[in-house]
Amino acid sequence: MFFSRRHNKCYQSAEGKNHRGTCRRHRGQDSCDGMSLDLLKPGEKARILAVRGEGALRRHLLDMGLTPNTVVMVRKTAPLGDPIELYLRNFELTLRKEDARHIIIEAVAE
Amino acid sequence: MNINVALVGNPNSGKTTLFNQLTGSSQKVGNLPGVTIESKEGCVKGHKGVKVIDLPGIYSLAPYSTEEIVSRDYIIDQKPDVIINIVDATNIERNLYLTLQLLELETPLVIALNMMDEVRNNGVFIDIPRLSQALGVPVVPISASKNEGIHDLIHSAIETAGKRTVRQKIDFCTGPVHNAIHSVSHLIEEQAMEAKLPLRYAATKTVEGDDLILDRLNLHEPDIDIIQHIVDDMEFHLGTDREAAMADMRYCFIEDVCGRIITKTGESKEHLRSVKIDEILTHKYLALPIFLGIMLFIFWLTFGALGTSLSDLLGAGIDRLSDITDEALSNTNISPVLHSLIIDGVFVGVGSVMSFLPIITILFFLLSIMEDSGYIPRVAFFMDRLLRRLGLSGRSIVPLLLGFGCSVPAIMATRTLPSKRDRYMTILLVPFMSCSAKLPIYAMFTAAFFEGHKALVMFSLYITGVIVAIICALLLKSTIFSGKPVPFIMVLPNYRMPVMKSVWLRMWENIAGFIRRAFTIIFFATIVIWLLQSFDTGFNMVESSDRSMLASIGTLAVPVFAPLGFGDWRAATALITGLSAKEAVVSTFAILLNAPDSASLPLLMAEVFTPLSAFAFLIFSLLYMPCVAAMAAARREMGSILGALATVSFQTVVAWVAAFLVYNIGELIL
Repeated sequence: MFFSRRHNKCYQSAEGKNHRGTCRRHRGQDSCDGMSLDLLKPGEKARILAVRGEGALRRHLLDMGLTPNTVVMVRKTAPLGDPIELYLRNFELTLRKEDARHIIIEAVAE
Repeated sequence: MNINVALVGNPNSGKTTLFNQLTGSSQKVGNLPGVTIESKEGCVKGHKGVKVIDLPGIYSLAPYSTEEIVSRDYIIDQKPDVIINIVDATNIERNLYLTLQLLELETPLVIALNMMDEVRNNGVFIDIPRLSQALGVPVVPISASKNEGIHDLIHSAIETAGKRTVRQKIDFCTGPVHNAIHSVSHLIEEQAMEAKLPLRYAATKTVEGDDLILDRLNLHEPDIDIIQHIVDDMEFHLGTDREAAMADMRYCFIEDVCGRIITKTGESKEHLRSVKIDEILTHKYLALPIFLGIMLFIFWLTFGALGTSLSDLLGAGIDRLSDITDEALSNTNISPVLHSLIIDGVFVGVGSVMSFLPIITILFFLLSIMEDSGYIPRVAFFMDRLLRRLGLSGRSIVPLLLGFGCSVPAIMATRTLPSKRDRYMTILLVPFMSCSAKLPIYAMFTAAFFEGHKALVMFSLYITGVIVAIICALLLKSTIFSGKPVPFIMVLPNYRMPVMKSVWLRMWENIAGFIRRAFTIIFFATIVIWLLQSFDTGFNMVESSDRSMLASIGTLAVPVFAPLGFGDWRAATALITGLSAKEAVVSTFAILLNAPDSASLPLLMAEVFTPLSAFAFLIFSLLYMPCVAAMAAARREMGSILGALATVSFQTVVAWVAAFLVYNIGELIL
């Protein structure tokens, strides 16, 4: 491999400003105080601040349009409690709660 | 002039429908060069020499799924003359994300903006000339399902291919990303040329950190350091990492373009309708009962009311034909050996299998409708949690459901699964979903032994298959297939009315396969069986088949099956011939028992079985190794003969154990 993926480097959120004061976002580490997407209830909307995690999963989340600043709504929870159904960019996307944990959000008002 | 067109687009963008409209029925299934992924190829109707290849449905050109890698390698290495990129106009943002990556491949490209009828219906206006201008490629509005705009699309594609026009340089990157891509471009110019990669694409992928492209570029050590520095710099300025930066840049560009060219009036009618339907079909309490109800309805229609009566009708027709032929042959002075071959061999063998055609037609018709309507992704959505307990993901539901039709397409469908572990496990479990070729066996046995409880026995066999699959999955999950569950990220497309042409084409493909098998493999197997059972080892015609060559071969396998209650050479032989195609089990019994026609076959079965041993035989037939076609498919998808052999051995052992338990426990109780 030519480039080592550096997991320990810190990134601020995409807008370039630092949300929530002291919080510095560590990829692959749960050291942030931001709210994650799995905690959102059906019908609630939120704006994506950052996508954590690494590798194929993270890449796929970004490819599917879960990029910073995108507004997503949780449409529903599956009958057995997992996965969840999201509404974003005019289409429905499903993902499991444990993967939604990697997506850091801030609530937006209706 | 020969033109090669590559059809690329998101899943559910109407790609298959467009491909069917372009090529009609001149399709041919083949493998993509160098890989085992199957693709369809066909000639464009009315344009000789214009060939279209249907590449797999993908969302991105990232190297994380086999389909994505195959598609991009195909475009770079096989150099099609033009790409038709099908874009779903009702989902334009996500679809254009792929387009932006395709534009970097320096291949002439035409956008087919699909579903324009829906867009118009919703009063949405898309400024097509401005979209074309913004992307620098021709954009043709079409509606694949209504066959609108296809003509213009073909002409635009041929023209674009002829002019070899690659889009004029239009940058869709800004700021630090722009600087990074351009600096890297200059650095890697020579290596990209040597690696035969389009420069702009190589540069973007280098900045993005795509390991496959980096390996192929074979960069020098000092350049790697400089590139690392450029990327670090970009990341520092953007406050984000390289992967997020690239995705963000593309979506920002798309949002900007869409904002300028689309006047929107909220969600589309089709989308709102989809959401309404989902309020019921994925409802918290109703989802699972409705799914079960739909499956029961499908089985009832196939094996109950409709299918069986049609099958009986066709069976009667075939028997008539057999009688007429018999009479005609008796009137001529044909040799009795040939007479026997045609009537006792071919008619009985092939005929007994062909009469199941209506059942198979109905089953595939219903499964195709379920697939094309968009319901299957919903099933994956609410079954994910259950399947995950078994170590699979919701996506495995598609191959598993298809398995009730035929294991071959079901095993091929496993390639949409993102992890090797899920693929292998699903391939192993698919044959336990009782395929439609096993139906003739069940139908004949239930007619023979369980006349009063037909439905119950049928149902119990299907359920047994599912239960055995669950037990095996749990067993495998905690042993050889232990590992992390893969992520489950899936788009739920809008519900759509299935396009009858596509349903028909897919159904025809499967039916044609069944008929082809009946007249090739089964025809051949029938003749071989007839020969083996009509002659003894000294090639003298025998009076009764228990002194034939076949009896000697079958007798060898008898000890294996004796503990299961059917230690009879005819049962053993039927199971062996069943490997050519499962329907052959029935035709083998028909020949070995000298059944004069298919109606009287069940009456003769009592010679070989008791009801209990018949049930054990059914359980064994349900679970033992699949037919050669399915084994070949498994070998292809697993990419290893050993893996496939291990899989079928496992299945056969499971079948033996299950049949053993059924027979011996049954003996104790009854």
